Amino acid sequence: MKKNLFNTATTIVFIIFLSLSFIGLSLGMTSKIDNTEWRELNEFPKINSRIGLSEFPKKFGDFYNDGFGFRNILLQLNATIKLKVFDQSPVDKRTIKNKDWYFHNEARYVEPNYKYYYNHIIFSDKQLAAITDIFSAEKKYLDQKNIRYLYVVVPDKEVVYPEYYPFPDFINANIQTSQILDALNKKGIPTLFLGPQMMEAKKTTDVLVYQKKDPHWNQLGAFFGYQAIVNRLKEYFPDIESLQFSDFNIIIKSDDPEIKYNSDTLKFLTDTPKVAAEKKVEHVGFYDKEDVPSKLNKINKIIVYGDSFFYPGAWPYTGGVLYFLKNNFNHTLVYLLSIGAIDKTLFEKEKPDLFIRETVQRNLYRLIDLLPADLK
Amino acid sequence: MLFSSAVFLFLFLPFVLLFYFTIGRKFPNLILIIASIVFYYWGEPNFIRSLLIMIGINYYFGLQIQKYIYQKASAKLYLFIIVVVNLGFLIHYKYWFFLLHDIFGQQSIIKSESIPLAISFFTFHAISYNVDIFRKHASAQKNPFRLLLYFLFFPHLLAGPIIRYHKIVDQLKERVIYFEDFRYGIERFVLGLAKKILIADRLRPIVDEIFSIPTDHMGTPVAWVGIICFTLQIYFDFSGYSDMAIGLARMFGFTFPENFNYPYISMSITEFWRRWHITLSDWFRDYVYIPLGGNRTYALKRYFNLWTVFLLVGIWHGASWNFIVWGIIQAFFLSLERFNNGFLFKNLWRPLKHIYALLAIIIGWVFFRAENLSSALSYLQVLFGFKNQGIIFQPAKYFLEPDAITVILIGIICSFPVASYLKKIGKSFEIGFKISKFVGMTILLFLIAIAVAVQTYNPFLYFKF
Repeated sequence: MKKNLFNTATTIVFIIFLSLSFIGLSLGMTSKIDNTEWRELNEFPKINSRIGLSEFPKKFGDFYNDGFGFRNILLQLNATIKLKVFDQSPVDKRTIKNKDWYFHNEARYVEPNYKYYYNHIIFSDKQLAAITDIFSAEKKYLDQKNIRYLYVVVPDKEVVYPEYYPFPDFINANIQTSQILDALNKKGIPTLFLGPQMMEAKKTTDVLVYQKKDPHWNQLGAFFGYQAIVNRLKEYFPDIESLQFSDFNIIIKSDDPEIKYNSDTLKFLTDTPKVAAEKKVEHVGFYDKEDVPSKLNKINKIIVYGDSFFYPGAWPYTGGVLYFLKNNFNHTLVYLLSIGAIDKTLFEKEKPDLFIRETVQRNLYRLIDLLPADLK
Repeated sequence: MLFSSAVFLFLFLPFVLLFYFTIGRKFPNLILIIASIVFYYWGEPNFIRSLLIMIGINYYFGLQIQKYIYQKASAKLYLFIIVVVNLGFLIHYKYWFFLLHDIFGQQSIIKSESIPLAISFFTFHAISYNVDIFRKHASAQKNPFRLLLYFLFFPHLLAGPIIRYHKIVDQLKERVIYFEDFRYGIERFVLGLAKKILIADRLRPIVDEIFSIPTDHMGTPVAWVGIICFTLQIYFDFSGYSDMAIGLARMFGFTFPENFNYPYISMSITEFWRRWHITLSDWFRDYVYIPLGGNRTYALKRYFNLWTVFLLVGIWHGASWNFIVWGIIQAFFLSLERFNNGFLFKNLWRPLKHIYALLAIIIGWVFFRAENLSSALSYLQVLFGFKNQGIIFQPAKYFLEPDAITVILIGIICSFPVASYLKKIGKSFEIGFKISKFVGMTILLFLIAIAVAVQTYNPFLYFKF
């Protein structure tokens, strides 16, 4: 072989590239310690009766993809390049960025089966009829058991803050929402769409009600949502009272909370929390005063089927409505299930006074999950 | 196993190179055969046995054709049988459902899960091998391991280029690897990997997303973004794969033929097919077009031959009406260009020729990419503004994030022979050119490593809750 510096240098760089994973693994740079993806990492496949020899390559590939050396560092580098060089979301599979606002990017990951985008899907008359039938049956069952019922729909962030969304002219979420809610109301299903309340809340305060870098509302938004729900519940429970701002010590933070859902890929975006009152801030902390819960006139039991907009602590920094609503009940049972049939055994056993089902606007299209195959 | 996967790059390739250049020096072919079997098994574990049996059958028939080479009728019979067997093998796995379901209307037939990897390329290699023996361009391979390597050699196994047996037979026996060749192989491989992973794979989600939008809700600008991205994606994906194959082969001492030569600078579809998937065009020319009579026949027969070849080219790409129509479109434009000695195009202004060629290519790609014929026709209507639309789902800029725009611009620039131009300039500044090339390659490898990691990033969809 004729050697020269150029050939040698090229070969050495290539060998380093090929050895990257081995070098990373020998230095302990694996994904095993710090999983940034909120999922179980794949394990080394053992060949047995369940995993045959022919399945081994695929399973091993999944395992290797999760754990090759330097993987996390490379992912962070990608996020840095996307953000610093191209000024776009580091996780563009999931989010869309406009200045320092991030929006949930449903179209990017919607399941292939749906072939539609959530904010454009128009339900057919047959689908609507079938969906309302399901809700009516649910309502009828709950009426028989003397359980009150409310279906709450939480507005999407881009619906409340279209001015920060990169394509405000293309937000049509309300078309789908009103289609569903009108159909349900006609059948006598009690519904509450929190869109108008959140728009009103946005006008009455200088503080943001949704988070800039997360699709959820913050605790302030959740509090406004809570008050609207309690007002609506007065139809059923005239004595129910809502908590007031004066019931809390409120601390407003001027920066973003640390964002965990995109974890390390976004870690560098976050700053050390500072406590200061500033206009148009997004993170609001509510801290209980000791005597607050006891003063409320409590109802015995509530069952909630909802998502991260309701469930306190379901995901870090989510402002869950139940953080407040639980104070109005002696017992609160929460299930992370915004769409899906009710578990009658549970209802027979617990005998709640109230059942709330909650869905965020962008997930309304998933109601067709409830339908038989020929209507999907 | 894809060349751009983490398993291939960080596990398979390092070990194969290590073994090949250490313990494999005495048995280089054996190492490559084992590696190729592992490579194929990784992607298609349930089919490797059938493939090995087919290679055995081709080995036997090759020897028989050789044996009766001077008894034309017998050799011809053996050739006929093995061609039928190979085509039957292909039809069984790739076209059976289409034939029965779409052609003969048997609605009850159930589609098998997937078409075995590399089956089309394998069939063409097999036919090439036997025909070359019959034509006395090469002798039958007596050493079964060499024949195994010809068929299974992993760089060309999945996506070509199509290697003609008689052109590689000497290299199967013996090869010398110069350091210069090895370095060239690395450069070519890295270039191909960059084309595939940095350009084609970045454009893929845009194309997939746009082609999944119902055309009633797609704006004309979006349709153009989609088809431009696909035009770049398919070129950089396929030519990138060919570059990687050529590069890998060179590292192991093989010289593969070129498969692409800047097809998008063509001024006609005739020229396009001299620059696009060259080894496939050559194969059809030598094994179908010329045996049918080629150009040396009367005009009507020439057109018949041309349409037959491109119908087959279309079918070869996939078992669906889309590919058939795509093939017919190619034949139509080729016929148009030949009509009356090409008087329609002879005196056309050069830029107009480029525009014509690109439009013809793009129209073809719509059929190539769309789910079915009606989707393709609707897409074309949107593309040229002939469709009344309802609510438009997204604006074009939704798909054009800054990194995507950068990739599209780089893709367009690299569709021109910039590299050849740089090489010419580089001759005057050899040292500077080499250093720039080295630095460029290092940067590409760095970006490729990041892109490989990104393709394994699979965040849990917690938003569903």
